[in-house]
Amino acid sequence: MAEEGFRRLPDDVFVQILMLLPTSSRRRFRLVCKRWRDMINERTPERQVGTNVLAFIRQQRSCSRALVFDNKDWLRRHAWMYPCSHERSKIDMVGTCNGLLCLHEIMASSNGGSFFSAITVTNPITGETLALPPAPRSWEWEQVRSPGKYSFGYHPTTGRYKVVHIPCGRRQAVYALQVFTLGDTAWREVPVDTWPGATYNRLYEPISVDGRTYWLDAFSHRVMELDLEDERVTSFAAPPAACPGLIPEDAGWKLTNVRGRLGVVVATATGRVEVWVLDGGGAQPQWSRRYDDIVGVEPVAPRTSGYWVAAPQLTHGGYILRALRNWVPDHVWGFRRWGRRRLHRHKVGDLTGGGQLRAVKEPELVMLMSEEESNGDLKTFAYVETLEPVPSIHG
Amino acid sequence: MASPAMVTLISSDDARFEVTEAAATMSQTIRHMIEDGCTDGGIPLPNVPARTLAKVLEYCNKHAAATAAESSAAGGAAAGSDSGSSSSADSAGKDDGVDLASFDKAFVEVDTDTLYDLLLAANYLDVKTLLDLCCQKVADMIRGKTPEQIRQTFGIKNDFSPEEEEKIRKENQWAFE
Repeated sequence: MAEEGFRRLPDDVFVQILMLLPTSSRRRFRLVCKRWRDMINERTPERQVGTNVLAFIRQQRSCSRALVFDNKDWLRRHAWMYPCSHERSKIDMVGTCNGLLCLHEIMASSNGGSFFSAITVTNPITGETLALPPAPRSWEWEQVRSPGKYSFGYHPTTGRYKVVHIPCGRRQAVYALQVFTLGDTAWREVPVDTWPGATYNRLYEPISVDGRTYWLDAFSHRVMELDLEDERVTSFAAPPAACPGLIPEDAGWKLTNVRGRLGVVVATATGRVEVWVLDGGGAQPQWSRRYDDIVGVEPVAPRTSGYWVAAPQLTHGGYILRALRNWVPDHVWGFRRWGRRRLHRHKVGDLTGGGQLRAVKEPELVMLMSEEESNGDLKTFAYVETLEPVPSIHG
Repeated sequence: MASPAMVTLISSDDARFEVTEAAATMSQTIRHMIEDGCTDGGIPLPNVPARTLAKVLEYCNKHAAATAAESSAAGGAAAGSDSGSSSSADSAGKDDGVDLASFDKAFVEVDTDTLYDLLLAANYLDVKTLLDLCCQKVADMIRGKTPEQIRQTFGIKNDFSPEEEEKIRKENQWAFE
């Protein structure tokens, strides 16, 4: 009877109701049944939302910047500034989901004591901003002295946004995570009871992909996974490139998002870069190696200013981005200095075919940054411009 | 004072309702019927049962009366030459607005079946403000729900295969790249 009830509604009325919903709810409701899916696909503007590249530049002592450009014509769409509240603090971007940005401002103390740390979630298009309460700290020395790492995730079926905090624990151990669900009022503690216990390597940023948050354990042997729906923590083997033993000192690992899947970028001391992508997921996660040697240009240590595969979003359309700066001669002073930062794109083959794929073309310059934009760490994200409301603390 | 023009509406189950023309013509459908002169012996509304029609007319009566009060208040204010009387008319109009808003809010506090009936009737009778009100009510009901909660609320059957469901779940995130 009730089912018949809703089905009685004419399409036009149904569409009018759908159009009153926020875009993220509409996307979620495509899961209700076929009629809802088809109506939302065909009669609402869901498909017109295009993805842009967001380059976040973290600059100490002043402000951070977010530059948004179209991943087809590479024209600039937005440039947002995030000024720090204190001269010693810096603002980093944790992640973005559905047009919401999660930012983390942190200020280390000068005397090795406590620190300041603040998370905000904002939609830069609507200007709506939510400041999260600070995550509660234990009195463990490690937690007092340095902040943990944060990740920002969205669970596509429940439609919930969660900020996950991995606190800094003794000997890199992780006994519990702290989770803040947007719309709630407080952080919750989520115990980690995997065997033989969980650890965390703070050198590598955690990442949230497809409703799960991932981080690398202290030895890069295992990838830890938090399911953002049921909040269970599990783990599985890291890609074989990691084993055995520790990573070479000047090699770099990055957890990345490769077309909605978890990817691991491994760069070795010789400048060789491998990308491993997680297939399957669930009970039987499987790694496959992709983009082997994609950027086998000159050997460059990843710590060199910006000459590195841009992450945590690895793929932008059919491209991978790299940021680089060269030494340029300074005629006034007679020595060399860093030039302006450039972004290059490398075309890569179609991932969906499986197998190993390589960069197929010479890199192409897509963006030359200004002098002010050339300093500081660069991260790239896939960003969509939406009017998605920030779930308020009061529900 | 002349009594207002009345029309008779006949529901699908043959119940007859006497209403003012002002209230009845909030429905564009009825307005067109009156304009076409098909009012003799009452206006048949074969798609609307009595129970729903009574509810719709409750809405139309309230809103038509409020509109009439507003325009007479505005007329009074225009007739009065000094600013003193217009400010009192303004505040009266504002009270009506608050009153109407709370009436609307209470009006759609109904079970889902009644809400569908109202939506269908508002759509068929073409009462735009009532249709907007009911649509907004449904949107507010479902906004924060999960797909499973929506199915429960509206008794909808999940007709996806696991593969289809997985495909949408994957697509549901923006910004894959």
